[in-house]
Amino acid sequence: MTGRPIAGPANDQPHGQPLERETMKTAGRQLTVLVVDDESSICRALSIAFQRAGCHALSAESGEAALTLLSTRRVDALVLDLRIPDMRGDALLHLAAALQPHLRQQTLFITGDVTDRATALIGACGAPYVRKPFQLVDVIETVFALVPLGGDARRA
Amino acid sequence: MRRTAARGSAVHVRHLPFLRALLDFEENSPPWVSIAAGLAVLRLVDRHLDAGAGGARLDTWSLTAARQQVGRVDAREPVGVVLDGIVELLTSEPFASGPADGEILAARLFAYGRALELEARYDLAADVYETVVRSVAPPPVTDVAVDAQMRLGYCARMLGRLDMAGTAYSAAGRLALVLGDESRVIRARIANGNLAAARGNLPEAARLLDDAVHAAASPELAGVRAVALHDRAVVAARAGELSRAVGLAHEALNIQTAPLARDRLLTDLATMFLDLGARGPARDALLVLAATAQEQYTRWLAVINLLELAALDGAELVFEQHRRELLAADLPLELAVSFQLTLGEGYRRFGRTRAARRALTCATELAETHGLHQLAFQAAAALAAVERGESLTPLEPAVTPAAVAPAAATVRDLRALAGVG
Repeated sequence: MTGRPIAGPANDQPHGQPLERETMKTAGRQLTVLVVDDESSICRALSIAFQRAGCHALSAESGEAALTLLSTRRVDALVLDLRIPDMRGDALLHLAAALQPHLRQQTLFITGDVTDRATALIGACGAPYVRKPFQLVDVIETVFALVPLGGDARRA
Repeated sequence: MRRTAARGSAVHVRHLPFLRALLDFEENSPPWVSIAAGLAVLRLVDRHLDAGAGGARLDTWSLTAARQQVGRVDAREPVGVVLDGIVELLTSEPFASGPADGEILAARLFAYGRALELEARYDLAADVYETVVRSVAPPPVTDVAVDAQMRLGYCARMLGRLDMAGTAYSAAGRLALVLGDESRVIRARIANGNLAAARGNLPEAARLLDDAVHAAASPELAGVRAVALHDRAVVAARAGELSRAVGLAHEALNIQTAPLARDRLLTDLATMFLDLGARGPARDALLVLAATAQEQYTRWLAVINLLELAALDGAELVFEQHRRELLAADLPLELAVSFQLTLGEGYRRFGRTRAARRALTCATELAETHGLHQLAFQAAAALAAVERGESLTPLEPAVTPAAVAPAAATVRDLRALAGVG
């Protein structure tokens, strides 16, 4: 399985103004999204965007902080930078999927690294990715597409 | 072909911690099965790495053996899931045809190391991180090699092998320098500073951490600067320089944006204020934590500390309010013991001897039953003091030293922002 770059639907949604929508739920619960990025501005922007989209948003600026959250809380989707200060994103995904197996299918990488190396590392995880800078709406739509709604959040 | 070690030469046995750990458990018990599976997979990785650039397929027997071992691990165990992923990778192309991208394998091995750390198996995790480093042996240097050296250092610290930890952190710093990754270079320096503090060499710790603070002056390194300042503040507090510690922690708080790191910082700041006798700012920090901390554990811990502060202040109504809040909570064991202990000490301070005896007896029994020795000792000592009729009285009103007024103002503002109290 290879990584799938998300071109994103053509739209003119400006940065910081994601879609407003009714509360996103999975299996009757509010969707919880964990954003992991060492750039606090990106963590903040995505957290606000997911909250406006009706999700419960958590954020972590290191792999260690993400692990702490993943060890204690159920997370429906993971938005993950490939380059974080203490643990590379692909290693964190393998661990996250070990703690919460559905995250293997419900993780989106975000990366500003345009090298073939980065693409290969993400590709080896089989997860989709969006390149920075991105439109918030693209990230949200992609995450919503990854999470099965209305039923068991865990995919077969 | 069999090989015989030359007489007198040292034989390096790979994955010795795994072999030792197997001896600690009954054969086929769940921990034994998990460790045996790890060893089987690491041996598979060894064969893959030893094949070298020439390439060689892994033999069917080894693969089958590793698969069988991994298949016996409880499917709910993170370790089993990660090991399964490593075997899957090694049996897929291009890995199945011979040595392939070391970084991809290294990421999965790294995840295995971290999964072992979650089980507090630092000896095994350290062995796995050494394998990670081997799997991405330079050139070129990669970030995962730096991260593995950092984790190796941490595991060595947990095992009390401080020299080994120092070697690993220094290796991480050197590799990060080659990589040109300034943030990781500074993190390695911070780790060495904390190691010096662990050795009790506070002046050396202060020097290394001051260096790290200065090296992280640029705005894009604000996150790592905040970490360095926080750790420097802890060293200052240990050296008894409490006002300085509060100043440094305050500086860190102003630039730390990561929610969990801010919670830890505020917790330490509350303790520093309390040690200074500044109970007002300590209360502000704890109220913010109780209302906003990301982790439930941190929120509960903050309320237990608020309970203690209320007793110190002689504020019985506030004490009762926090007691009710905690009674309704499903506290984890250690916090449940701390709650009963703090409750007992509080009742003692309010002169409610029967209630104090009841809470302290509960704390002692709970702690003894579950092997929480230090808490059991503290609770038993407090209970003995109650039986001897020794009373405690509320403390005098606290005064905040002028030197920490800016930090006190910041936590007061945070409390107002959080809308608590």
